[in-house]
Amino acid sequence: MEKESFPFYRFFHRLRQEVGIELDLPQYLAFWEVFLGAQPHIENWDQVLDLCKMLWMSRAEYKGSFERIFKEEVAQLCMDLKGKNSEIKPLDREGTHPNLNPTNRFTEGSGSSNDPADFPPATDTHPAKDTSNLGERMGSIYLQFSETDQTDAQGGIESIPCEGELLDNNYLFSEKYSPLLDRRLQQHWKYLRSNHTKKAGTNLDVAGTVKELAQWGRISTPKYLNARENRPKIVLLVDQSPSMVAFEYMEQHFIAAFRASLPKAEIKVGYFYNSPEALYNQKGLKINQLVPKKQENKTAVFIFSDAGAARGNNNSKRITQTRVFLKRLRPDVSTVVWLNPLTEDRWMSSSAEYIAYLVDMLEISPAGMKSLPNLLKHT
Amino acid sequence: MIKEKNYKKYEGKALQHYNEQLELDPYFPSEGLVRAVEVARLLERPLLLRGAPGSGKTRLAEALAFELHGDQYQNYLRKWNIKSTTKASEGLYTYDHLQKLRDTQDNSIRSKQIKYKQYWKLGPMGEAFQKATEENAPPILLIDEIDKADIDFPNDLLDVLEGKKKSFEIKEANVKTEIVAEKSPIIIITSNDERELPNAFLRRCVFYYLPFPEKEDLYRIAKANIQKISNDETMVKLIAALVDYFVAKHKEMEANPNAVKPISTSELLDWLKVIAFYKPYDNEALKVGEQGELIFKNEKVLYPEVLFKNYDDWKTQLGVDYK
Repeated sequence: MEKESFPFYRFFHRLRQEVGIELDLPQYLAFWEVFLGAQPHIENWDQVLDLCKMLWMSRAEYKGSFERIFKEEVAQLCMDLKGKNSEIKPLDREGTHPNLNPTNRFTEGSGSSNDPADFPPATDTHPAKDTSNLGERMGSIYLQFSETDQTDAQGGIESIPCEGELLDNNYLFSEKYSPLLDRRLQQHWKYLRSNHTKKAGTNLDVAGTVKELAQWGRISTPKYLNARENRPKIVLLVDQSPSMVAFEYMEQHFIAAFRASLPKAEIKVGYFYNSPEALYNQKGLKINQLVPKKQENKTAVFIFSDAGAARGNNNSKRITQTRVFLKRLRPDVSTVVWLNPLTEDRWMSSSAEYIAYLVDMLEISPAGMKSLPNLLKHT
Repeated sequence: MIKEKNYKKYEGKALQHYNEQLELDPYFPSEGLVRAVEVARLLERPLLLRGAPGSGKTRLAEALAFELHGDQYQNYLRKWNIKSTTKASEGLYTYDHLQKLRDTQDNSIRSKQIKYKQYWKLGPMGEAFQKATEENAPPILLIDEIDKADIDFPNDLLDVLEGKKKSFEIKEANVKTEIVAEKSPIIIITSNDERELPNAFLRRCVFYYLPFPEKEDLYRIAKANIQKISNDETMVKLIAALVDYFVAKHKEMEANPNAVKPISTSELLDWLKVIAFYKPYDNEALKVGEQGELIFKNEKVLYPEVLFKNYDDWKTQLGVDYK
């Protein structure tokens, strides 16, 4: 049996491909398990949509795309059924049919209509009703899930959180472009850890207690582990040179993601022009004020700059200044990561290519940011 | 499919009124939420409830337990309140290493006694698993506010929640001890959506988003809650106007990006209780206008300390500094 002929497989697949929801085979099977086993039976499209949301809509932000694709797929399914049963030629995907508006059908329920475009009856010819070897048949599409997991859901296609429109030439026309979803960014920043002691905890420190016992032959008071909370110190250094004007929204998007995902973090933002050596911020602070000495190497520094890649310039003064700056900075911080809004192929022959040898430089894209969790985990 | 012999469907109708004997407040789940509970039971997966504070996430577990088990509901309900330091293993059991050390040093206790003595104590999850094996009816496990936990906590839970047969072993025990639940308890996990949960964890859950209650729902909740503390007819008549005022204020705060903590259902209920107790309507400090609107004497909201719990919100709403 072709996988495409499984009802809702295409909807499921489109959720993975177009929306980027990381769904797996057990979730598809769960849909059928409930659909076939629910008592009382699912009776209308609203209930099907609710069920799909319960099982597949893992985040509220998917709601718009989720419902849109569902409506499209229901319309298509209705057309297919109508075509099969009454030999009405099915319309193409972009076509419309006055009697097949899925939005109208959402609140109608199954009713008593015999129109095949209504909700398919939960008996007889429903292709998935034969559940005896459902798992076996699903096995044939398992391979496809495994193959697409890496590309579709994790890096290949990422939804673009902006309100722009695609022009005829495939350029995106929008002032609000960010190549990464908020949730993806927030997941990355969570790897920034700096556990600060908060107060005496209530969890027994077994190792400490045993050590005391071994040392003194008795236990005076049990030892307890300290309760901790994650309060990382973060410094964001943002390039404000003219070549970065186009990425202003992206900068703000990043800063907002930091603040949202790490509400207890101490976040300081500084600005510079071309090289972070020439740092300034609104209060005229210098880098040693943003990252004071004796920080016990707990501060993570992120530099947001094109490093000369936007114009393709190779500026030796800029490279030298950056090297000096990084050398001075490193003893006082735990990590330095350079986030470059330009793609890696644009770094070649520019200052960025040389600076990338001095510091971990990542392009801001799903593929580029993949290595960020590893960098942060080891800090 | 559902393994329970005496399967009882959840319909969400058992707590329509305040239960005086058990001191249970009324609970009105939506049709979608009732279905989500049944879907989670069918699939034996945790139900992940998300929504704003005050939308009734935590109360579902209690209402569900009451509907399925009646007066004995507390025997079947296990609550696990998550803290920033909570570890997944603590939900299963904790082991009293210290007592064991003391016993080994005590010459009056024989080593055989130590070998068979139970030094572990089951956690809420462990108890729910054990109960699921012992009883025909399903216990309910509430894992409350999972967002508070460490980033690794949801992933650590995966091993335990994976599969329909839940089991774990007490590794420290001298004699092999394994708790196996043939049937899964009903697991309800609540989240305020304050942090991202890992995809691997989300894939194993059934999701439901609880929206903030509509005005009609709030009115029903308010009425049912007030009836348990006050029979004052004037107060009952005032409820509609008070709820209208609350809803307008809630919407205003939701729309204001500078509002820190928009008022929620619990604040409404507290506010109503205070008004029912002090009866400001008796001396016309509070009355309903011709259009059904609420009128405060001196045009200042009464008992703002119950409604606005953030200093900035207080200043914005009252235009004064309370210091």
